[in-house]
Amino acid sequence: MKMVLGLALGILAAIGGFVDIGELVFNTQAGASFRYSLLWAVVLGVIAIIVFAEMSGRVAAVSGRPVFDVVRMRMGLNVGLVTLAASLLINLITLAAEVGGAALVLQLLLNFKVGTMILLAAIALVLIIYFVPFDGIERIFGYMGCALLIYLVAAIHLKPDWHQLARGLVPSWSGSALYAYFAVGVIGSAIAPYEVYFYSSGAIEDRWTVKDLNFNRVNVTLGFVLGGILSAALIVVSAEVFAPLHVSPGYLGTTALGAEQAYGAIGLLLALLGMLFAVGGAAVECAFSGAYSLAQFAGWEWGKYRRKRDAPRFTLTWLIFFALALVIVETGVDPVQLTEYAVIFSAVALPLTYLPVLLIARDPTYMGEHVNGIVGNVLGWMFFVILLGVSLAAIPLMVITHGGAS
Amino acid sequence: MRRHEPSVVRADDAKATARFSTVDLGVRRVVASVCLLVGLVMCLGGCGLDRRQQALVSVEQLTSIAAEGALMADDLVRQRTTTTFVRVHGDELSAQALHEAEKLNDDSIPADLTARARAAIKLASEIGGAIDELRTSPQDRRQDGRDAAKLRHWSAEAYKMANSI
Repeated sequence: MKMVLGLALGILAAIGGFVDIGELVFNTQAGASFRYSLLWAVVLGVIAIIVFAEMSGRVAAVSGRPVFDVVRMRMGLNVGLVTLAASLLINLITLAAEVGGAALVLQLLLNFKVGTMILLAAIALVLIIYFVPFDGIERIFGYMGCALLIYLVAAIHLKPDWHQLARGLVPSWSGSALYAYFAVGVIGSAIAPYEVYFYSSGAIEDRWTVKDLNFNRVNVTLGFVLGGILSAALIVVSAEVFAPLHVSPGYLGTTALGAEQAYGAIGLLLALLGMLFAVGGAAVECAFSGAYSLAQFAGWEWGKYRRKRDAPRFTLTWLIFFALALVIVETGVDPVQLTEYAVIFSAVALPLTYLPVLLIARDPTYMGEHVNGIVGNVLGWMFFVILLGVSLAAIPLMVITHGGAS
Repeated sequence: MRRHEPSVVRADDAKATARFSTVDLGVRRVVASVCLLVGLVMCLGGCGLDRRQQALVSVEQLTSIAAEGALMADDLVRQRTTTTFVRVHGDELSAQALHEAEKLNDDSIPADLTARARAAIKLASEIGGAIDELRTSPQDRRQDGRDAAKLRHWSAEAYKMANSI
């Protein structure tokens, strides 16, 4: 039973975290612009997040330390502060994008004013987080987010060219900056740092020990592979529906229209429901990640399992995060545009998040017999170099392509 | 299986922090250099699209909006969508068509593109109008069918125009 309940953590991380507004925006645009040829970027992102989430879960289980504790310890106070500031800013932008995204989906379902929907989405999320226990939150968003499986069914229903699809899984290079920008976006949205902050802090909240290491492996592999398949399905649906018509998806409604093309109104409603819970789950993760990061850095009491009065600054932090996110989206900024910035700036912060995790996971002083093996180290360094490249390329590509416009 | 006690880990922390203090300096320099580089690149890239590119992007957007509108109209004809979705998403598309028309009108278009920009502005207005018709009377299937055909035609027209820019 514990195993089944615990797997919900992976499903939440996969659907609510892996498939978030970043995926819904970037993957749909990538499929429409480059058909299947960026599927390899999803595969790369999935393997990278599996490698680093497994390490962060293992570090949490063995040393009892979540990622942000590790960041400060390994990188020192100054770099730790830079990472904290970057992480808080990116979490806030991402949270605003997710809240805005939830509001847009609610509007597509109910047709009320978007300002009202933003307020409704933010209040509903705060109330859920405040009153529902941690495992309840996992189940609400994780299971309801599974409605996004409609994209997987739709991808098969639309009869893709399997040969072309398989070719898309092999890394290729089109030579255009726009292609590189979307590759960075697809990888960046797959391996957003907040997912790992949330995952490792969740492991501490769930009181993982070395007995949970196998569970950790199964959890990240199943959870993120599921998320990756959904993510790839978004590209395939977009490649089949939008690419032939030269549609450039710029709205969440366009992403939903893809599912409608396969299964009509039922497909549309399932897609919107799945999106609502996926972005809602991701909003919860972002708010918690921000609060976890600050509390762990400052040495405050933290955790959703603690009573609110036992971790008041942690509770206040995530409430402030929601309030700030609400202010940002109520200014009328486009959540989709905000998502693009959040994903690209997240990509910039990747090395600061993942280097300390890698350094700790390969250090026998902390990890004892559970230190990285040769395969773990090789994969860790290989993906770190790739992420470093993604990080350095992200902003120049955003500038060169004018945010993916040309 | 060995579980490290917190006190042992804390003692190890001090050692590790000391060991990596030399790394800190290097990492700080790298972070500072990256920040400087990012700032520089953002300044250099802040010039935006040139006018020809801007016109091209706007016309490509019209291709996209009309094609999406046609998909929605087809789904209305076949009763495969919800009127709420058509009204809300149609509103987004129609507003974007208007926005593209405004951009084409406001930007100083290169002389050789003036006639095409004028045609694109007219097209944007027609596309927005057809999508607004879908939003106003989604249940009128005959009208929806006509709008679907018109939007498909305008999408193809905008695509041809984009290729000529």
